[in-house]
Amino acid sequence: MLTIKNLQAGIEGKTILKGIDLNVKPGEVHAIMGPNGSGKSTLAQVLAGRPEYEILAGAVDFLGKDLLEMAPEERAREGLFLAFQYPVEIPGVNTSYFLRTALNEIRAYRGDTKMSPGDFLKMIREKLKLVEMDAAFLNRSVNEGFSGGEKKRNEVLQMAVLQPRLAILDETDSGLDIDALKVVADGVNKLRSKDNAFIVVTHYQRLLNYIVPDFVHVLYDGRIVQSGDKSLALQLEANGYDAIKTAAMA
Amino acid sequence: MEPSQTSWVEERSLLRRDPANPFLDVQKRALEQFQRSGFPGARDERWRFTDVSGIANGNWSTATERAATSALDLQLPSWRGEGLCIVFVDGLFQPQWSRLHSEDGAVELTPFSQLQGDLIDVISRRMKETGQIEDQPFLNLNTALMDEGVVIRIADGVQLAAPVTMLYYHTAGLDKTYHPRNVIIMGAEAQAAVIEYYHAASGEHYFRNPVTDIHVGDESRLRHYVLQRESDSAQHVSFTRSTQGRNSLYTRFAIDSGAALARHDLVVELQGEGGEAVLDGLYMPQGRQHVDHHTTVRHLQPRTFSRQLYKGVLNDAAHAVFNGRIHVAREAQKTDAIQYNRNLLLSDDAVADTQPQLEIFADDVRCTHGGTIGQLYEDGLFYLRARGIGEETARHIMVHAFAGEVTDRIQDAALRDQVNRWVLERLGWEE
Repeated sequence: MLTIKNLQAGIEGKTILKGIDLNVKPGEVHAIMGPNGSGKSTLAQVLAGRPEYEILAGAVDFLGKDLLEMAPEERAREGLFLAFQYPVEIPGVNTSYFLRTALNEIRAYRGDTKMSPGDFLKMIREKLKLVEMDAAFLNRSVNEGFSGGEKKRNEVLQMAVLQPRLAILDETDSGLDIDALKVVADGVNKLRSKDNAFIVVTHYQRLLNYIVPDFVHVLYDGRIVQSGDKSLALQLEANGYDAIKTAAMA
Repeated sequence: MEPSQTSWVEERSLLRRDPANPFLDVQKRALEQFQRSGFPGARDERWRFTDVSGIANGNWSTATERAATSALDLQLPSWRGEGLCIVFVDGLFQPQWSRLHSEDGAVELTPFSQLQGDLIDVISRRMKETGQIEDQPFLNLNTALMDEGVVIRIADGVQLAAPVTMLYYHTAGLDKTYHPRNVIIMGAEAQAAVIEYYHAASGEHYFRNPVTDIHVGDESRLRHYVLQRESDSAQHVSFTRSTQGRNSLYTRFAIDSGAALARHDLVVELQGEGGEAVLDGLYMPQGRQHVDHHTTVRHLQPRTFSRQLYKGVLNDAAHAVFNGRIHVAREAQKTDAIQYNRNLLLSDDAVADTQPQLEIFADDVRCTHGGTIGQLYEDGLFYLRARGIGEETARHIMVHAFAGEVTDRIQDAALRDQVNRWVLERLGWEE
């Protein structure tokens, strides 16, 4: 589904990703862990197509297409989704209108008809239950005045509506209390299927108790320095990142 | 000041020297004041961004020929509904399209040309008082050359449901000048909405110089809308004064989408304790359009409140100016004044100048102000695109949301819908 080869990228002349290789197949959940500043969020942003980042080398194949050649909106329409670490507040843009516009642009790209406001409302009411959100959110401006937990739920709601093939969760657990974390993780688990895949970017092992990964990768200084199964996450939790740092410097 | 620059003004003012004209004295004085000041130039601080030499040196026609309005298929605005309205076409009052009286007689619209009796004295006194405001050459120019206009009198306690519309329409004639005078006098404990609408059927060059003089009585509420949709070649220079009584509320929304040059001077005087003014503006210049708002809010009594939000969406090589003066008198303790001007530049060649001016003589007051000039918010744009929304659409959504902060506050629903359609149309995004 996603094949990353020797991806190198940076911002404002500073190289952050120094050669990433990763292969994600349908149905898999990959966790990417690592200390602060290791490049986890950069990887997520680069895959989503944030224009500020510069690609220095490497290639990314997504469902048989060159991902790096695509505009952010094309990536989304092809089925890539980034759940933002810091969801953006957009005053004056109604959440319901925003979601319906996004859904219909994606549907149009796939050759489907537009969804009517009535059908959209029926569908979204079901999705709201998934993240235990009140329908009143739909009439508020996108993320404006939302609490940290509400913003993250809103990201999962958008994922449920847009039904991506590959979802990248960028530190979705940060700033969440345990109850909100469970709601978000439950939502994600219900969306898992044999056809889609997830990349879960996180600093802590905690989220991985709820979203159980098939693979765990440790990112340090712009490179994946270790890969394993879910036991690697537990090991990191017990020993911290220091061992990784020491090994990388040796 | 070149003497020739005011010659067209003098020539035109002679046409007003009818001995039966009840405002002759006021007009003569205004002309004298205007002759002393002349047209403002680049050295006048309040005019340094706005060049009116095109008006001063204009070859303005003095002809007052009657337009062929009988054949005109005038589209009356959709928001009018059951409301009263007064229509002027090419400067002339049009009774056939106007509705001047409410059934109960609580509201009365009188064209200037038909003023009689005590109303003349009321208006004369008001004109003299307003004429004392300094440094307003275009106010004097309007008074000196005043051609038509309307007096709207709203009696005590009247609660008007539908807005009253003043429609000034230009259909034909090159190099015309218009100097309409509007006076709105509201009694106590009344509620009304008044819409001033300036519009043109053609892209011709003309100069419109309206003055609107308003009094909002004690405990009264007025919603005032100024819709400037002149021809793209027109020059529009307006002056508005609003005086407010105790616990009154003056809510204003002004939109500019027409005119090559638009300049608005607004003076709000909070003369009664507890008076409140809410002033919103939206301007959307493009091409080489120039729009300039100069506001002055005078807090004269305790516990007065003012809030201004002027927003601009500038494209191409447009230029926008905002200057907001807040004056708090010594006795106006517990004043709360808020002023924001926000500009969105859609092009590298667009320019916005924003300047607050605070004159505070009381000590227990709160004044908040801020001006911003910026590009489209990149984080928001990326967020929308990351959800599959195309770049063009994402930009539309962001700009519309920016303007929506002011247009959403329009309380009269039919007008709000119309303004939203204009905003989309102006930005070239008709759905």
